[in-house]
Amino acid sequence: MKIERELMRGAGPTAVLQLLSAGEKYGYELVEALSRQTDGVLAMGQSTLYPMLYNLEAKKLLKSRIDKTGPRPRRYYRLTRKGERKLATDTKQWQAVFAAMRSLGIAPQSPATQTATSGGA
Amino acid sequence: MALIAESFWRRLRFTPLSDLFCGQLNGRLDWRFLVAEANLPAEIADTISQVVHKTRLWNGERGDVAQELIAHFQDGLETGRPAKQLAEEFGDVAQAAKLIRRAKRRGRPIWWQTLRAGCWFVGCFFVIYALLAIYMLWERPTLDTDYLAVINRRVDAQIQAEAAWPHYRKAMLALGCRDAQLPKGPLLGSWYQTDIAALLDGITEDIGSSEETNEKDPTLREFLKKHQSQLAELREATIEPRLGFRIGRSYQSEDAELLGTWVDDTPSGEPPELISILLGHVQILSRAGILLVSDAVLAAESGDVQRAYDNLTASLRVVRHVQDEPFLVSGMVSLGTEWTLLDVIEDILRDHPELFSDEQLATLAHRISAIEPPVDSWFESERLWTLDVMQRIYGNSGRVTYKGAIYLSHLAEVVGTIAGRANEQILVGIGLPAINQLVASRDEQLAMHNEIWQQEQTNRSKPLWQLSDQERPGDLLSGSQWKRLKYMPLGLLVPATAAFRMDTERNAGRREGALIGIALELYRREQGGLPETLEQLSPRWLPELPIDRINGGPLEYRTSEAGVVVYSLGTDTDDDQGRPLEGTARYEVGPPSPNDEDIRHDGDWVLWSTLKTIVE
Repeated sequence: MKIERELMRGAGPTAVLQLLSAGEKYGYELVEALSRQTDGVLAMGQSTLYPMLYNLEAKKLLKSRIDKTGPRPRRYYRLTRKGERKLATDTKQWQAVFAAMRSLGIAPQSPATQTATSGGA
Repeated sequence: MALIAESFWRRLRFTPLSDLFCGQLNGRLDWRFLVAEANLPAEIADTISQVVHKTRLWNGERGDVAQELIAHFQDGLETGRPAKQLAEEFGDVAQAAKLIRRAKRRGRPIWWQTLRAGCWFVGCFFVIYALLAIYMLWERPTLDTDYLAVINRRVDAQIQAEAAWPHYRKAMLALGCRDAQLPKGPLLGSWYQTDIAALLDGITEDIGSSEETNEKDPTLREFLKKHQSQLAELREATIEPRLGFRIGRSYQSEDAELLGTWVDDTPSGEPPELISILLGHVQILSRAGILLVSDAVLAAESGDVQRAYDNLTASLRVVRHVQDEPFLVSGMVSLGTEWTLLDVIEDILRDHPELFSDEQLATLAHRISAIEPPVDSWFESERLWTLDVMQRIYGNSGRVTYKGAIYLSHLAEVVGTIAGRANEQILVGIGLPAINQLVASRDEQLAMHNEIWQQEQTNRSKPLWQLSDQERPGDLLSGSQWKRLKYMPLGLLVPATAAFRMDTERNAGRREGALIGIALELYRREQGGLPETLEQLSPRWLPELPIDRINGGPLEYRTSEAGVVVYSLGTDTDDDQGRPLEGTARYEVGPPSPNDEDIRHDGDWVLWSTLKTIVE
């Protein structure tokens, strides 16, 4: 499923921050992880990912370093404190959006809610 | 590609300074070399090259991006995916380059961000400035009023048969006057010199004139003796009630011989420029006045009572004719001519007290008291003068126009002096928006102009002792440099009214002195001696006794065998027994300044003196 650009513009950075919260990663890793973990929903071309990484770095949400120990020099990205705070805020916001979507019947009910609803009936 | 790596100059070009200082010539910023060295399939190498090339980033940044993309594609190739697929998955190359460029620039150091913002600001400023300049260059001044015609309307309304000017012209031509000058010799230096007795014998003050007297030139005394019939004609010329001279930027053809030939270069369709009108006739009238008072002295010496009297009354009429000309400069000339005349009356009454009959003295007194400088008329034309200049500087929008700025520049002699006329038009064109920011709009100029003249009128209605230093009209234009620049057109045009006020006060005092002097002589003839106080003159010999114009108190009066002296206490407000100021004799007029310690102001303002030598 292809996500519209505007939606991707909001979700993409949060997804990248979330992936990096587990530890530092280089560009190809991120591309693969995004594709694999989101079943390709949030997969993005390199033409989008790298500018996004540079942007997040410019905003001091990420920090990068070059690792020359491997077979080729690679640029690794990791979250900064500011990036962590940003991720926390974004996460809360996305949760609020999903809750709202659920209440409108756009997003599926969470399993816990579904159980409670069916039990009450 | 090996060539790139081997090229010394290329390596030098792509090695950062920091590495160079460490002795490394690695060329690590050469992103093309990096791509070539990676040995990637052609599709991928081409994709990377295109992206990096199109980012147009700094070499270091390009190197970083290239290195990262190389690593990325190499990782992809290692997973076994075909190069073509990887290149296609990359996405839009141009879009990627654009986004990378934007993101990388956002991450640049603060100094660069500041410099970039500054450049944008300056660039925008210049663009807006240039647009404004182009817009302003289109506007032209609105020349809709012919102020010269307004001034000449007064002359046009007069009956030409009553005009004195044609008679003056005829008489002055007969006296040898050409190109607004008397023949060389008789009156050299008289423009400044008021000592008629000295002038008669050809003794002229050193005034720095480029002309020099020649022993063969006739003295004024000889000249007057030789031209008695022409002088009689000149006296006749003064009798007409109005001068009737039509002012312009060129003279009427019949005046060309007397005043010279001038070409009016006013462009067709434009009203004539008031600031460059010709006033040579005022100079002719001034010369006529001096000739007449000089002949009065000569007549008094020879005992020719009627001729002396006729000359003095004719001179008074010349003064009135000069006063009729509605300009401040003609006003100043009239004050100067009147001053010389009053000097001569004093000299004649001192040296020949019995010369005139009682009736003649009474008539002289009446005519002197009738002199009333039309200051309002002089200032009104000054106002018109300013309005004419304003219409040449400003356009309908109220902003300074290009043509107006050039005009202003000529007026102030600023740009032409600094840059030379050749660059003037360019400089003014470029500077027009700035000029409009600095110089007040037409409405502001006119508002200030009105304020100045209102304050001038208020001040003029106040006696000297009520004037304070804070109330000088010119002060409205002083203050900060910005304010002076803002009102530069007015600063150039508004006359020194405060100084002019003192000139009119000086003459008024001198006029009152002459009236007292004549009254004293009439009193002496009737009573056989001088009065003990001036109060005894009023009202029989003097309807109203003048007061000290500086302090508002009574005038001082001293008598001795040597003569009488009537004086004001002067600006220093203390009694110096009628001793005039050092060097200036009678000239120091102004608001009272009792605390002024300046030695140059120590003395009295002598209004009338029949002393052979003024009291020391």
